Amino acid sequence: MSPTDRPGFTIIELLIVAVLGAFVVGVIYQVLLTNQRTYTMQNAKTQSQQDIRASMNVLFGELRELSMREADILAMTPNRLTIRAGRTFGLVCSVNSSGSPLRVKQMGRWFEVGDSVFVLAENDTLRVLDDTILSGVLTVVDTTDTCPGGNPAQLVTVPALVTALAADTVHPGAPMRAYTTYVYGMFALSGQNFFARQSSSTIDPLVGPLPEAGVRFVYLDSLGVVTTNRAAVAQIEVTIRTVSEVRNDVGELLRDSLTTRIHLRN
Amino acid sequence: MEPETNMMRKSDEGGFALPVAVFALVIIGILVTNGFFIARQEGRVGIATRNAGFALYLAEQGMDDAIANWSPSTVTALPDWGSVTSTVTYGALGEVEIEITKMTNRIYFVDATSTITEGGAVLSGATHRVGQVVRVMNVDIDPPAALTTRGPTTVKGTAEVHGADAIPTGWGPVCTGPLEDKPGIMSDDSSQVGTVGQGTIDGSPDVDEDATIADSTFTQFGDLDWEELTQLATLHVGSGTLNQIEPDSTVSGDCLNGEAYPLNWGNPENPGAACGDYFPIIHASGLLRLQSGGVGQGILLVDGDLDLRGSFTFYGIIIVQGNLGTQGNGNKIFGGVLASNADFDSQSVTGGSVVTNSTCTVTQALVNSFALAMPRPLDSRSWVDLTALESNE
Repeated sequence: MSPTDRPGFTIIELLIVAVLGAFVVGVIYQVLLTNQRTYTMQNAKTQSQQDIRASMNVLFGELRELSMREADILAMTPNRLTIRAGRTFGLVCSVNSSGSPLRVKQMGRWFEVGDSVFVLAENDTLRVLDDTILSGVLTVVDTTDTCPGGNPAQLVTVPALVTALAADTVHPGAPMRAYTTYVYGMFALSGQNFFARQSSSTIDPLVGPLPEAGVRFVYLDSLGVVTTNRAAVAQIEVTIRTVSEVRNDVGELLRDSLTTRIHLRN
Repeated sequence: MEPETNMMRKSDEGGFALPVAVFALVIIGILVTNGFFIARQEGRVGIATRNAGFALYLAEQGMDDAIANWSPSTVTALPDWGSVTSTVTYGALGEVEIEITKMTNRIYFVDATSTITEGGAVLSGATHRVGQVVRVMNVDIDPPAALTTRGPTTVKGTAEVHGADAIPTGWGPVCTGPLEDKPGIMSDDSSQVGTVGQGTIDGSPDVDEDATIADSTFTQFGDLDWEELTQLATLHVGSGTLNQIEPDSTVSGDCLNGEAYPLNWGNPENPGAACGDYFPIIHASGLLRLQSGGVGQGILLVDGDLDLRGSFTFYGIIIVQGNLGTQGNGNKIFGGVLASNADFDSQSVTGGSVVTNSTCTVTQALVNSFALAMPRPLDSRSWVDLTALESNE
């Protein structure tokens, strides 16, 4: 048999191979494309849910500690909430008879000069109804002291409270809290809506971009009835809606939302 | 002969099916692995989120349980700023470490740190820490006399009211404090207090007058008012007549107490017996008549009149919003009686009844009444999320 007599591929065979090959490659490409889309969508969904969860966790921590009785809610609208958020915590271990300084047991972070603080004044220790909360700003902080039992303590001075403290209103065991005023709600940043926290100097975005009405606060009293009275708010229902830049199979932008209800503990 | 070099066997022909199949399998393998990885990561994120929530609620549960199971004898023994630590396990879910710090004899800080142990080495470990400042309510019940009352009050027959401080038989080991003699009867108007027949009133002085005695004397006790005090009652007996109040226990010596045993008011005459340390707060919602004898101890709160019909012995505090009446022989009260007699009816201690001041039984009733020693959170700013405190900026 001469070389020219070797059996080769016919044009039909080549065509069949080309068609089958194109089909297989096409199928693989489709699978890859679908997987890529699914991955992108799932990733966007996951990211969105994690962002919402993280934001809700921040809100949980802040709103649970609000005091209805002490009117920690300073302003409230359906999409903005202004609060006094608790920060550093300590326990008074002794009060100088002159009203300054206060010796405060460290419970985590130290207090700092400039902190706005609350402290419980029991007044008459035999009565509950005369308990009040005093507030002021720390001007001097000494972190080298100890409470009885050797617990690390701070000596702090609160000029606004000296008179009250000298009058024997605050007693050992009184909780002291530093607080910061924050506005939580929807803010426009770079042309887009974000759920963010605004302090006196900065706006920190927590999750976004959000659609219109991306944040909603509903204020409820202890019976679960909607109220507009700040002093009556015992629960806050929070809804956060997100919209992603990723589209789903039918071409719509991916959206997600989470609604939760937070009870005020203090 | 044809040259071998120009020949090619069929088996040498190169195919592409196998490489394509292998390539496809590799791609599919990558896709499946990728999907599995994403699913597992999502699962772990979900479990971690769930466990974080569980950790918070477990810490809350631990703190609530620590308050509900408050042990006055343990915490009051602590020095100021001393603490006691315990760990409570909640099934397979996790455990909570509780630290109770005493700051003063009425203010405590409860610190609860939970740890999720469910899920093995990979999925367990979520923790949360919360704290609460609690106050043990100050209940100020300090009868100023053996009998403190208002309106016409007569001691008749062979009845006796003694203001000299007395320690009941068998109570010596727990009555180690100083004695405090008091008036026999303290009234807002001593001219309305008297004796008839062989009735006796003695004390330091026998009868004393305090014009400030008012409704609040019988309804406000430190932090608690009458309604709050009755809400703390551990035994509710309604109104009407009760017969034969007696301690009750099992054969093995366990005291049968609580609402299910409304006729067991403790065992004052035998402090070492099964119900010797049972000091109930008993609330009667109306007139209460006790007859056919019996014994009891603790704090007896009566919304109406109290009528003792003979051979009834009580150690502790009796507060009556109506008036106090006794008749028959053998009624014995060691402690202090506050009878409001708000309607200023004539009330009489008669028959062979004896009311004796005993600061020790009053103290024991207060100290051993568990409900009075229960801590309560401060009205505001008592609760703190110590975990969030660390993460917030």
